[in-house]
Amino acid sequence: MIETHKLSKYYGDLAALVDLDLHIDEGTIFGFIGPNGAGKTTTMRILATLLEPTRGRAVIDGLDVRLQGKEVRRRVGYMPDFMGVYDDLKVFEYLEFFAAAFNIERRKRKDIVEGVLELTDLQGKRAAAVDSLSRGMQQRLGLARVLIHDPKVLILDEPASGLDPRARIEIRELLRELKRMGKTIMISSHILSELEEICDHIGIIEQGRLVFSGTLDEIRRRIGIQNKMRVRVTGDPQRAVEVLTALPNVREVRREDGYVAVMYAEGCEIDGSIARALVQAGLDVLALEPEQLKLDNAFLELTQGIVH
Amino acid sequence: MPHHDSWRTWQRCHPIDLFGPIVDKELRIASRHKTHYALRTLYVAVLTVSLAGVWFSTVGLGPVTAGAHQVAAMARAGRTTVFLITAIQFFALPVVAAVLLSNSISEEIERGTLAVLLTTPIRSLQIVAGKLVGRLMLLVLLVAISLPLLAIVRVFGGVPWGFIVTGVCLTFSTAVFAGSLSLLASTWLPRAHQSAVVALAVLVLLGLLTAVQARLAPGPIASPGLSHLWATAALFSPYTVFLQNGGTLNPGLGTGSGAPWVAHCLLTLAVSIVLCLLAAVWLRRAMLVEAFGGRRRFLAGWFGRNARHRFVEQRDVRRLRGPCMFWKDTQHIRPRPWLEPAMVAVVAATFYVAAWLVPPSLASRHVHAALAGIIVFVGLMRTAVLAAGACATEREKRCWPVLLTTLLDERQIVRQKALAILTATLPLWIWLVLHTSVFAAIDVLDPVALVGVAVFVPTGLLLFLGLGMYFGLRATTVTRAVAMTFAVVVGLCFVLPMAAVANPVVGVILSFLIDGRDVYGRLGQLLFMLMFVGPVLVVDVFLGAGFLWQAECQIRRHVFARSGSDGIGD
Ligand SMILES: Nc1ncnc2c1ncn2[C@@H]1O[C@H](COP(=O)(O)OP(=O)(O)O)[C@@H](O)[C@H]1O
Ligand SMILES: [Mg+2]
Repeated sequence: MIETHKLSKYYGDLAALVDLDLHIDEGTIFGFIGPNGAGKTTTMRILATLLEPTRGRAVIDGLDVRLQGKEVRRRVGYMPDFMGVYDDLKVFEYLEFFAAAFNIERRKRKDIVEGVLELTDLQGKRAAAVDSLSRGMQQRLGLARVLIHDPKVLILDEPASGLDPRARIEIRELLRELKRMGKTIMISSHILSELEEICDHIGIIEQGRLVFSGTLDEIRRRIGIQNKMRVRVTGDPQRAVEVLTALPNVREVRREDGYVAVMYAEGCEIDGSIARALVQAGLDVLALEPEQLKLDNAFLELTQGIVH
Repeated sequence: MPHHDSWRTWQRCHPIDLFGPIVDKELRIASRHKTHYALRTLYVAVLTVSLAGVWFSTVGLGPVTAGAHQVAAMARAGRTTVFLITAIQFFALPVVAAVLLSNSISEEIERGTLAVLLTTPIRSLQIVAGKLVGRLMLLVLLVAISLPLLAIVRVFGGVPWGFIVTGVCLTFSTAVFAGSLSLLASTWLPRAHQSAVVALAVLVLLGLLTAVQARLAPGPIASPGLSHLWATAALFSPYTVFLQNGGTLNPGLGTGSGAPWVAHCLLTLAVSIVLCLLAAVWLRRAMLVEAFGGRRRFLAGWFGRNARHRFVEQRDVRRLRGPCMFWKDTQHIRPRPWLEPAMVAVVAATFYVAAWLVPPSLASRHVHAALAGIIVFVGLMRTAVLAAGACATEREKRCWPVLLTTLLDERQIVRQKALAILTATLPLWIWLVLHTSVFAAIDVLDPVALVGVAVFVPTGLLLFLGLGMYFGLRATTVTRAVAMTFAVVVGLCFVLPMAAVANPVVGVILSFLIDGRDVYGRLGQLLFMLMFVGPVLVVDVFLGAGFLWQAECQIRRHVFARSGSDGIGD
């Protein structure tokens, strides 16, 4: 549904986006993740026809973003990272305004607006001034606006940032609902765990380059290679490091504040052999505990190498 | 302990403290501000040009011949120069003061720093005093620039010190008054230009007071039979006092003896202090509102966005009709659709009643010309300001990204916005056309006046709309957009001699003054058509359409422009 080929954007000398190749299938939720300044917003603006790429091509639903802007806009709902609101309009008026901006006929508008209000659970706020809404409500209003012309593709730039946990859960539910309706959703965040439950695919971007792209399982497998065991022993920890390094299936051993951390290959039962080896070497094992890598830590590990 | 408390309060109010941190901040910001450099340069340029003009017109370029004639001419030149500099200062600096202070509080509100100031130990009176003193320092600098000039000119003789001292004192007291008024207004009004307009309107009213006085007391202004009313009223209007003061220099203007300028200055300063105290009280409220939410009521409720809030809340949901951008901007520009027609009707009625009471007025071409000039000026200025505002708010509210991902294209956006802006001044134009048609029909005005209206109003609208929209799209805030549009409009109309030919206000006034009944009049008509109508159609339409077209092209280019890089920042 969305494809980019060697998409690049330079602001003067600054490379905001370098040769980005994305492929997002129809009907999936794609999580676009990266630290601040990585180039997520830039990518989304290009896809939403707001920015011209310096090089490369982006195609949505078979249409070139640069050449067929109007057709692309018909198919895409874009929610920017900072949603502007008109302070002199009410919720219903705001939505009707955008309905009219998408050339929806006057007599159909009311039903459509009521429909999206219901979907986003904003019926009670129909007559509230737009800028009197809380941040969570405003984000839902933003989603309602994006849905007004029933686009196939949704591009949402950090919709959950600045929301409280409850509002986050609500947004997540809403996104699930939209996926069930068959929409293709591209959603960005700088927090991986925020998207882990709803995304089918993840792309991790760092300094304008895609460092990883794949399903959640793939990402787990890739980082999960380094399953980690934390060991505490009596006596000389350096000796423990030497003993453990010699074991099969162990990838790396290092000392971490009072512990010895053992990184080992995915899928092997290693705790028995660790304990045995240590005891044989005359070291008493005080603690031996596994540590599953959290997705956020994984994200950090994946991106760290490039930052420094 | 109450005693202890009041002591602490007094301590915090100590005069030296009063101007502490805010003055410091304002001065540091001001010295870096680009507009301040521009203002200083412009000021020096205006002074130099007018001085040169006076010098050549009185002393001349001829061979230097020593003698009594030459000395007398130099003394005359000296007097005129001093009068001119003092007058320029006196008329210009209060206006500058009103403009400089117009965004003092609304700026802090816009940036959201007012609530932060509230949490510091700085008192609201300190903020007010700090803003006033900090920003008026520039005026001191401007006057200081001209003082050496005045001193040199004095060498030629003929200028009493009293005149210069009085002039400077009057200038400062009026500037402080205009500044405090503007500052007070900016605690109610959300936009800088609104505060400036309030302060300038009061200055204009004072000027009108002087004009009325001059009408009521014909002959030498300060005749021995000076009425009490005159003396009392003079205390209020700096312009009256200034004219009287002019009498000390130029006997033709009146006798300067007993000019109550000291009393006037003291009174003005006292009023200014009261205004500042009021501003401090309102500021405190504005700060609390800003910190804890809620809305500014009072006058803002009638003028600014808060009016729309209240108004919007009163009604149920409005249904959209017509083109969407046009509808939205109309809601924004004219939340009360009846207000403009009603205001125009009231002003028109007042004008006709006043004109009827003073008999020769409506028979005089000059009155009609003045009326037409004012209507055109106000209408075009309002159009430019609305255009700048309507475009700059989109950026200020960060709405371009969502607008430009709809199916609206740039041309539709520009056209619909333009339509919404143009309808706002429609009542004014209807009045002008009706007025002109009626008085042309009863033969008071020459039919060429109708040609003038038909040519200059649409072309002027096109030009001012284009300018306003272009700068509205380039600037980062509404305030900046309005300021830039103003600067360009004033520059175009009054500075460039070529553009003065294409100036719609001048054009309309001239078309009203022509009387085609005799030969000279017919010649005038012909010249008018050739000199004005032609250039206007070419220059204004070309420029206006060009700016509109540029505005259209700018929209997408500057959606995400950062101040300083692409858009016009400070
Ligand atoms: N209009 C602009 N002018 C110059 N640089 C920009 C502009 N917009 C973004 N950038 C730069 O491009 C890089 C990517 O920004 P962005 O796409 O906003 O990152 P993200 O959304 O991932 O936080 C950043 O280094 C940012 O400073
Ligand atoms: Mg971003």
